[in-house]
Formats: sequence, C-alpha cells, structure tokens
Amino acid sequence: MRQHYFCRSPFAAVLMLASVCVIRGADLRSNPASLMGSKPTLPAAELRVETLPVAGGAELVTLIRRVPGGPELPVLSVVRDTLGDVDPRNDRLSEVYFHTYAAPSIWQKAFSTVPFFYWRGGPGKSDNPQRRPKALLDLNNADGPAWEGVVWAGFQRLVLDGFGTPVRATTRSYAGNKSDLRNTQMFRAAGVVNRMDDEDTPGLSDGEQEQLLARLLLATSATGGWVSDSSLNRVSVKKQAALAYSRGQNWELLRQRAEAESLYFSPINYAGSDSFGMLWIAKPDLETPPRRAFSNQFLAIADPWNDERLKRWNGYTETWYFDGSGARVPAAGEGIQAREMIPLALYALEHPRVPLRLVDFRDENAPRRREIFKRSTRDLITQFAGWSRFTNWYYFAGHSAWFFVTGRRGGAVDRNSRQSAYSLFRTFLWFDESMDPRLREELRRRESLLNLNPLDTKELSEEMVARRHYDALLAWLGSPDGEKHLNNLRRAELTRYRHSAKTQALYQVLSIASLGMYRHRDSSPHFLEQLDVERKLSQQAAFLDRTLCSTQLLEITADLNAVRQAVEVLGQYPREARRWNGAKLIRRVYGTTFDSDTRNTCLLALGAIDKATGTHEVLALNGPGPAGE
Amino acid sequence: MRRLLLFLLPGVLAWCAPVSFAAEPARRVVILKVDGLPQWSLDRAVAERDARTGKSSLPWIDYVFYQHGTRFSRFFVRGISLSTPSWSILDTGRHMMIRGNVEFDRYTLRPYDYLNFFPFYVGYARKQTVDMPSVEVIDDCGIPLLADHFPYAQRYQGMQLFQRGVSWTTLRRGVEHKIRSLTFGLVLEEVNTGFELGAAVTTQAERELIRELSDPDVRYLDYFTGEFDHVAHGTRERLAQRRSLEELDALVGRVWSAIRRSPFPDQTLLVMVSDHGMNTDEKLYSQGFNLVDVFTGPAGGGHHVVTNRYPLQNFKLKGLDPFVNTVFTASPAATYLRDQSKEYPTVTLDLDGNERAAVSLRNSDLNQLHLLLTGVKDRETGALLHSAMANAAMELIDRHRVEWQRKADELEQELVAVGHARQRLEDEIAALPRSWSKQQVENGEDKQERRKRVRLGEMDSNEKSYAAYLHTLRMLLALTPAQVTERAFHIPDVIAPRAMGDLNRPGQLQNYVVGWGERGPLLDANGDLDSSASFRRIDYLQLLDGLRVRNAPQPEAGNRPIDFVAVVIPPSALAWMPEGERPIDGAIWLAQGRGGALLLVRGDRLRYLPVANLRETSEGEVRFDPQPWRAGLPLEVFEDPSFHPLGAERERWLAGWHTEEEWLDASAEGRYPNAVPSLREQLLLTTPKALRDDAPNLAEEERLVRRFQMRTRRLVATDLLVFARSQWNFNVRNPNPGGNHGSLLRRSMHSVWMMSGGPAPQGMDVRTPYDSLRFAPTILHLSGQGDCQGEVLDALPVTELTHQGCGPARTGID
Repeated sequence: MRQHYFCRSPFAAVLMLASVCVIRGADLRSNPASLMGSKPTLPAAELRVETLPVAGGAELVTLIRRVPGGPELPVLSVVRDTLGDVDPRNDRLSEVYFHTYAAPSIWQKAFSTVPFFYWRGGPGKSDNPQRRPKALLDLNNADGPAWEGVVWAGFQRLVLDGFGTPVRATTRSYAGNKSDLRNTQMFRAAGVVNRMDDEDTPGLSDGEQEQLLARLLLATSATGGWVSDSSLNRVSVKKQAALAYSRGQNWELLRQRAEAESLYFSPINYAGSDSFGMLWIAKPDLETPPRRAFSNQFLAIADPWNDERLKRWNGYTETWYFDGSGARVPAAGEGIQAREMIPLALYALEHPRVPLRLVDFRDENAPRRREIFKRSTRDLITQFAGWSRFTNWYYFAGHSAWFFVTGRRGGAVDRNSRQSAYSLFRTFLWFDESMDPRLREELRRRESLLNLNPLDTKELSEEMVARRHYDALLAWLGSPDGEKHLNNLRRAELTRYRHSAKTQALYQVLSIASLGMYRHRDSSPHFLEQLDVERKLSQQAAFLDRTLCSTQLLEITADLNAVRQAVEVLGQYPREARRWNGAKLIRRVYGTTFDSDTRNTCLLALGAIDKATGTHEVLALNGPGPAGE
Repeated sequence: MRRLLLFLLPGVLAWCAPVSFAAEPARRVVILKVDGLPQWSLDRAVAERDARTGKSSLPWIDYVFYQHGTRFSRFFVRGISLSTPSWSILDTGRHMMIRGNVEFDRYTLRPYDYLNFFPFYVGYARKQTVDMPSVEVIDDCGIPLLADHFPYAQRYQGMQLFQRGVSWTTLRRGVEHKIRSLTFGLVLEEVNTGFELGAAVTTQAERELIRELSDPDVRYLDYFTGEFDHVAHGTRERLAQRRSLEELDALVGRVWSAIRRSPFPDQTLLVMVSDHGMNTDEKLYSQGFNLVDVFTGPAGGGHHVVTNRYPLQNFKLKGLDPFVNTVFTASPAATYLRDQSKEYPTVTLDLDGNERAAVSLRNSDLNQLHLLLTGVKDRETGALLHSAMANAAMELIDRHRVEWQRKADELEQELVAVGHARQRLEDEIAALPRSWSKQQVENGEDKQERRKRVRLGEMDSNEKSYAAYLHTLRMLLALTPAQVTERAFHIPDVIAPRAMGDLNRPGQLQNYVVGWGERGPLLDANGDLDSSASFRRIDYLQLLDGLRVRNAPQPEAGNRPIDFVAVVIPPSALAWMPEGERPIDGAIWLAQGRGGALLLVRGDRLRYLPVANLRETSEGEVRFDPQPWRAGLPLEVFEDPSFHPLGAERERWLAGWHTEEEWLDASAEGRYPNAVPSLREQLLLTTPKALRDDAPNLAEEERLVRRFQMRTRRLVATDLLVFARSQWNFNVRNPNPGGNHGSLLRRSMHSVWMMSGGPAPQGMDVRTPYDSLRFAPTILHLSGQGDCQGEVLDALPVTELTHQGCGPARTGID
C-alpha cells in the first residue's frame, strides 16, 4: 500500500485523508460505543472502482461508494486516456468529475450575489442527460484556473470595483462564493480519493492516485495550478508530512487540555487515522467540579462545570466503564464502574496548529456564528470598504499583524484550512457508517449549519444529484460530442508539449479574453501518433530526471533495466527527445554508472540522436565515471 | 568496446570493492553524527525492498555500511538516552560530566542551557563566546573533544551541540545559495508547501564537508544532522520517518561518492553514529504528562517551578524569545511563597528528552526554615507561638551548623583561589598580542585568546554569584536567638533567593515540607512547636508512583505515566550494612513508592537488591526490608524474557555483584539494555583526571580550583530522576506525539554505530554489546592515535578492531 501526502496551511484538513488509502473497517476507536462492545454498529461504507471503456480510446474510472446492504452511489470519475492501446506508458489522466456537484440554479446564483447572505442553497440544478456535465478539474490543464483567477482578479480590481460599492459588493460576493464552492468540491474529492485502497480497488496506479490527489489539493490554492508535474511528488510528500504532524499535535493537545480540565477525550478514526476528536464530560463529575477556573484555550467551549444545561441534559449520552485505577475498559464487570458521558464538542485534528471545533453540542450555532463573524468581517472590508492587502499597505500591515498574533495564540485564522476541515467532516459523515446512528444524526444536523455558501447543495439532494450526474456523464461520453471533446483535449495536450511556456501563457490569456470561445489546439492529422510519442517521452524523461537527481551511482539505487528502457525510448525518438533534454539526460545516465550494458545503451541512443539531429552528443561525453576514477 | 571496458575496469573495481581491510590506520576520519537514530528503525528500513528498484529502501546505507562496512548491532547509550549527555561521552570518550540538556546550579540557579544555539551565535558575533556552552563545561573539566586530538588546521567541524566556533560563511553561503537556486517553479512549490530556509544551512554544511574532502591536509571531518530526531518527535507516521531516513541515505551516498573522489579514497574511515535511539511506534502516540502542573498544583505542594522554556511556547508570543533559558511558572496554590515566584522558586525541572525528568526541589529544611522565619516575622503571631517558632528556627540552624559552616569555609577558600587564578589569567591575557597574523588565525590562536577571555568572564561571574550565596549562608549562620526573637533580620538576607540549597536526603524527599499544615503551626504539650503536626509534608516518591491520568485513550500505554524514580543514596547512609554487602561508592534507589530496588555500587561492581519500606532514620541511616525476587520491579530484571541468564539461574546471578560489562551483556537483548551501568554513569559523578585534587605535587591553590570545578558540577545534581513509562513523556514545551527518548527503554537506548572504509573490515557485524564510552577510543585507535592503556580516555577501543594487546577481549552473550 502506498500512502499519499497532502496539505498544509491552505489545505490542512483535507490532507488528513491523504495519509491513508486503505479502507479499514470500523476501527474500535472510531466508535466509543464499539470500544465498549455494548452497541451494535454498522460496517463502514467502502469504495469500489469501476472502469468502463469510453468511445475514442479512453476509460472512465469511477469510484463508487457502497454501503453493505445499501445502494451503490457513484462519487467521482476520472477519464484515463489510453489512446486506444494497452501500453500503459502513454496513458494519461485527464478530466475529473465529482458527481455530487450540482450546478447552481439561477436562484442560488442570484442569492450568492447578495452580500452577507450566508445560507446554503437548495437542491441545485438537475443535469440534463443530453448536456455535457461539467468537469471539476482537467489534469492536463491544471494551470487554466490559475490564469482565470489572475485575469478575473485584475478585471474585478480594475473594472468592476470602479463602478462603486453595489457592483463591487455583488460581484465580489458572487466570486467569493463560487471560489468557495470550487474549493469545497476539491477538498471533498481529495477526501474520497484518499479512501481508495489500491490493493482491493486497483483502478488507479500509485502514481495516478498521487497525481490526482496532489492536483485536487493544489487546485484550492491560487498558485497551485502552476506547480509543475515534476514537483507533484515532492509537494505531496511535504503536505502529507505536515498533515501527519498536525494530526498528532492536535490529538495530544486536545488530550492534554481535556486532562487539565478534568474532561475526557476520545479520538475518532477515519480512514485509518485519528482525524477527529471528541470531548466529553462525566455526568457524575458535575456534582464535584474542580476547584480551579475553567480555561477554554484550544477548546473553544463554554465552562461546562457551571452549565445548568448539562445537569438537565437529555441529549445524546454514552456509558463508559472504568476499572479501579480509573482506566477505561470495554465492558462492565466486577469492580468496574459505569459512568454516563455527555458529549461536549467535536474537533478536526488535521487543522494546522490547533484542533478546530466543528461541533458544540450545547450550542449548535456557536461554530456557525464564529464562521459568520469571521466571514462577514472580511466581506465588510473587501466588499464595502474595498480594501485589499495588495493595494492598501496599512490594511496589509494590520491584517498581517492580526493574523500573526491571533494565529500564534492558537486562533483558527486561515479560511482555506477551516474550509478544508469542514469539507472533510462532511465527507466523513457521508462515509462513516460505524458510528452510533443517533450520534451521527446529531453530527449531520450540526454539520449542515457550517455551510454558508448559497451556491452549495443540500446534503439530502446530493445522492440524487450524483446519480443523475453520472448517468449524464456516461451518456455524453458515449455520444459523438463526447468523442469529439476527448480529441479536443488531446489536441490541447499536444499543444502543451509542443509550445514554449510563453506561447502557452499567451494562448491561455487569449482563451480567457475571448471568454473561452478561442482555444488553441494543435490540429495535425497525425496528432494521435504524435501524442503517443510525446507522452512516452515525457514519462521516461521524468523518470530519468527523478532517478538521476537522487543518486551518484545508478547501480546502487536504481533498477538498471528500467533506466535502459527509458534511454532506449529517448533514442527511439531522437528528434522529439530534444524537447525533453534527452541527450543531456542520457549523458547524465552515462556519467552515473559503471554498468557496461547501460553505458552501451546510452552510446547507442546518443548516436541515434547525433545521426538524426546532426549534433555531436557522443563526443560531448566527458569523465570516465561517477567517482572520477 | 573492449578498450572502453578496460578503461572502466579500474573504476569498476574501485567501486565494487571500495573497502578493503587494511591494518594501516585511517589517514582521515569522516563522522556523520545523526541525532536520535534508532538501530531498529534503520535495520527495518534497510531490510525492506523498494518495489520499484528491487533494492533496499536505503540502498546507500545498505551498500556502504551493511555490505561493505562494520556495524555494531548491539550498540547502546551509556547514561540516559539524551542528546547532550550522550554526545558528551561519544565526543570525548570520557565519563559523563553533563547530565541533562539543561542544568540548574542549586546555589545560584544559573542555567546551563546546552541546546540553545541562538545565544551562542549572537555571543560569538559579539565576541563574547567561542564555544557552545557544553564545550565550555567540558573544557573546564579538562576534557578534550575527539576533534581536539587533531590539529586545528587539520579538522573541519560542522554545526552541532559540541561545537567550537561558528562558521559564518556556512550560514551566509547557505542563504545565498538558497536564494540563487530559487527558480519560479521552486518558489511556486514552496509557496504551496512552506519555505525551507533551515535546510539551506544544513545543505551548505554538507557542501562544505564535501569541499573539504578534497583538501589532503584535513584529517578529521564531521557533520551533524538532527532531522530524523526532529521528525520522529513530531510524527509517528512511518512514511514521514522513512522519508527522513531516505534523505540520510542520500547524504551517505553523496559523502561516500565524494570520498571516492578525494585524495584518500581507501584510507578514509567513514563513520555514522547516533547519540540515542527513539521510542516511536507507528500505532501509538506518545502521550505527555505535565509535571509542571503536578508540582504547581495543590497536591504537588504548590511550588513555583523553573524550566528552561515556556510551557506550550509555540502558542505564546513570548515563546518567540530565542534567548530565554529560565522560565518561572507561578503556582496558584502557593501558600507561604505566594507572589514570590521569581524570588523563591522551589522546583527546577529539566524535561528535555521527554521520557525522563530531572527534578530539583529546594532543600526541605530550607523550606521549613523559611516558614519559621516568615512566621516569626509576622507581627500577628501570638507570643507563645512566636517564641516556639524562633526556638525551632534556631534549633534547625544549629542542627545544620557544622555542615553549613564547613561548606561555607570550603567555598570561601575555593573562591579565594579562583580569584587568584582569575588574576593570573587576566595577566596572561594582557600579555597576549592585540592582533593576530593570518597564520595565527589559521592555527586558531585568536580563538584560544577569546576562549581565555570567556573563561575569565566565567570565573568572574562564578565568584560573584557564589559569593552572594556564601554571604547569605554566613548571615544565616550568624543569626542569633535574640535577632530572631526580635525580628531583626530580613528573610532575603538569610534565605538565599533563587537557590535550592543542598540536595535533599531520601528521608527529606519522603517527608518534604511544603507549607504549614491544615491547622497551621501548633504547639505541643511543652509549649514547643509541634514539628510533626505543624507542617504539611509530602512523600514525593509515593506521590509520583501513585499518579494516574483519566485521558489514556490508548490502552497499550496504560494510565500510569511514571515507571520509576531514581534517587541517589550516599554511602554514609548505608554504612550500617554488613561488610560484604555494603556499597562503597553509594547506591541508587529505583523507587516505586516506598519500595523498588537498590543498585549498590562498589568500585567497578554493581548489585541489584529488591527492597521495601525504605526509610531514613533520625541518625541519617537509610534502612529497608530486603525483598524476594518478583515481577514488576524496576527495569524488569526478573521477568524480562530476554534478560540473561534465563530461568532459575537468573535469581542466583542477580543476587551477586557484577561488573558493568556483565550487566551490559546480561541486558543487551532485554527491555532495558545497559540500564544498570547507565544509571551509575548518570547519577554517580566520576571525577575527571584533570580535576582530581589528590594528584601528587599539586599546588594548594590549584587543588582548591579543581575542587571548586567539581563542586560546580556536583551542584547541578538533581534530587529525583523520574522515568516515564513507554509511550509517555514529560514534555510541556509543545506536544511530542511522534516519539521520545530519555529513558532506559530499549528503543531509546539502542543506537547506531557503523563504519566503512580505511581499516574498518567489510561486512562485519559486531554482535558483542558495547556502549558509547567505547566509541571515541576506537575511532582514535583506527586513526592511529590509539590509547591501549586507557590513560588518556576512560575506556579502551573495541576488541574486534584492535590488534594485539589492546585490553582484554570482550565476551558477549553470543
């Protein structure tokens, strides 16, 4: 099994999912009741992967949620373009579809332009099976949304803001909600991909899964789309490390704070990691509150010891059992004491720096109020005052100082991280079937209050939306329009291989300026053959670059067969290999090994390049070997 | 093609057989110092195959050390598994002189903060320091570093805990290189994942190490990395830790390749060594237990506590202060010292390493005296009680008078001698040239001069601070009954602020005075103060043993955070024991409440004795009831299935006296390897050769200076050494859920020592257990500076790598 690494500051919570690909069943710790063995629990929902052929030489890989005994539900699909052959070296993932995404209705769009309107919208617009469902992300055009963002920000600042407060407020409000919706879908999609067990559901390879996850998470950042494919592995590693770090830190921080305040902490396991934590109070303890004053640092809840509501509590409770030493045990028995436990709050543990309170069982509107306060303050400043960190230095200084001080003291200041945590919580509730149904229902009700986006759909309508969306996608991909679209994507991809970064940037700007009417696509009649070559070269060049960067002697660290095969591919297409620095890579291989077979392969490949391009790459070889002997 | 192969052949041979056993000493030594790298973790990673390549997941370490080098698969920490003490042994080959990452002087509360680089760098820039604090301490003890055995111009030292000097160019070039190497793509990547400026410096240090390898004059090079330790403290996740190991593996590859290109490819000894292991488990979080809360809380005595860092410093603005080394945490439950947290803290805590805590409590009798004098000063105290308190105070002073007087006299003599030595040093410095030639700078003579100035400042500061304590002690001794009765004294004049006083005896720790009793001071039938009923007392050994937590969500870790507590018992307290059983050098009580076990120390032999009902009599004798062997004793010597010998033989073996090596061999596969010798090393200070005041022909003044130096080392001793159970830790700075070290547990004690190249045999796995004291002698021996008599260092080189007559052969359990 391979794990994937994700998210730090901007993405924090979603990354939690990242560390795990195995769907483990109901972990005992995920359900306090199951720990005690006193209550029956349902098995957790699982994912299976279904791969369907698509007209034009592609596959549709779909992650399907299945609850034992319940209906199956398509969740996420990704198109894998195989160019119609069985050679995996030229396969490429392209568009990603998240099926619970429903295009907002006209009313939702209208409400989203209203400043300070923080209510989730209705069921969304039903997809017409005849129309093309909208892709969440195109992996071959990851920088497209980033360019759009830049152009839109400039347009907003230079044009729309100039029309005065009403236009500025409405346009900014709409843009903000739209961006939030997109980010939420990205985080949720990443969460679903993370649930994949690559042993039981071999739909996507490790590399594909990693690429998909990294791209989904990077897409939530303004500049993430510009991160190159060669950096995805490093990015994902760093993000997963940050995520694992946050998870452990928050787990322990919350446990220690619970201990200091004489409360109880229980972790909740999701997809193999303790991603959430709950805080409890023992009802009998309310009779003898601790003598010291309650501190809500990191807990963000009101003093439970002087709360009359808890003494009259008739909400959800659990019974826990303790032995004589105070250690919790799974079941009742001799010398075992039973205690009624009242839940106080639930926290996201993968939020950076501090646990983020998601649910307050005594005051269900408290997390929503906090979020509304933060968001309305920001909206007031940006939409009405028209201040921006990039244009108003006083605001920049004040904002940075506030951000630093509040963050340093443990405040949840980063909006993207909060959003990520909310999305993960939603995904968790969607998937988890192991929790006591009463508790899950309480959590679902409270979770729905956290969504402030009028463009978002209600949870109850998501399942219906998902089925319709998936059906529409299948119908469309099977249609001539679908095949045409696939070829358009291929031509666009070929453009990216064959043009410089500057030219590509120009094409992007032209596309945005023409509101998408103009899109440059290479129109060679042999584009499929060309794409086949370019994909193979891109993959092998990336492999060689990655391998060479991490070693001084290939025979110690690398699989020489794989290296030779990569060199052979570069030599096989000598003219095209120049675009991928093929000769340079081969020279590096030659200088990093003593293996005669590999060196011979290098010489042959360089010879082929020399012959085809008229260069003298063989003569450029210098140095007898890696260590200079 | 044939010509090509012939051309390549020498290189291929050189690569494929990079290490050939050579009896010739190494011309050059390169040491990769890795903080907190556990042997078990490395073994596991090396054994795992990378599915993509079919090779080890750490291919370079596998190739260089496992296949073509020598490794010590049973290499253990000596002392506790903590960085500064452990590196002090590895870097010197001498017994431990530093026993924590921070130490507080009991008389002056001076913090020796060994881990904080920032003040060192700033001090160096201001020409106020030249060495890290740890190096200053061992210099004062006359102990050279391993690097010091090589001439100044022939060594290259990286940034580390035991660092001499600062290479500003490393910092500057590191940042410059980082900025220069930033491409648009890299900036984007870092914007989305966080900037890594810190790595710029370590990468630069590596580049410089590799550059220095091409200089044939450099004979000693080292490089320090704390990355794995840092990652493993933060996260238990295997992949994150694996990533760190992979980076280490790549470093080995780069250094090894550079050695192959260097002038002495076959005569360079490449060494990888770690100071300790790491108790990390991918299925469990390490849970913190807050001892600061215990000691500041009402049940713990309501102490004002001193630490070297702020609790939860990452969430405090003042936690950004990089110079902080003394933090006072006031107790809300304080009674007689309320609002005096900075003047009269009564507990110091060194929590670093985290699986152990060194606790110093102010001497219980000082507390009692403080209470009495405060009561006497209180004008609202009734006449009878006032008189009784005054009498009790004088009685307490009289009880200690002889001992305190002796200590005051000795300290005064020493301070006079130190003053004279300081004067001589001042004259010596005045005679030194004001400027240095390039040649002198290259030979490090300017650093020597600055070192002398630092030493001068140190002596001056010591004189003043100890003189202040001495003055208070003299004032206390001079206190007359009339002065006490008439309240003619100021408490700060007679009870030294910011001082812990002398170490508490075991009996004091069991009856520690923390304040007045519930009913306040009481008189007995004779009108005297009823000292047994008047004071609130705490048995700290019982208290610590009885601690439980309610939040222990991992059943495997249990809800008892404390394993056992180690307390030193002076030999005089056990003088009543029969001749054959009596320890000569003292004992260590491994306390579990009132029971546990005693480690008796007699010369080079140690014995483990289960005891119960340990108590101190009014005559100062420590008495106990010997107990039969049972499971559950500290160190689990009786039930540990991996402790040798096995079965019935074990009981007989345990009843005897054994050498340190025998204890090491017996416990090498056990749950607490090398624990018994380590406890001795940690708690019973060994006087270094350079500070022995019984050396022949020693001038009186020099003898006193040496005695003073040893006194300063003894004054940082602590009362309690508290060990955490596995998967518990005492860190309060910030959570350390990934893993911790500091204990005597196997995962923390099992460390790494591997060598390759030069005289190191290929493919050798030394199964004989060794501890870190053998490291430096072996490295010196292999580099041609052998010390087969143990005259210079405190141990001999390992037997397997020496030839003819370098100490007796070790017989391991294999």
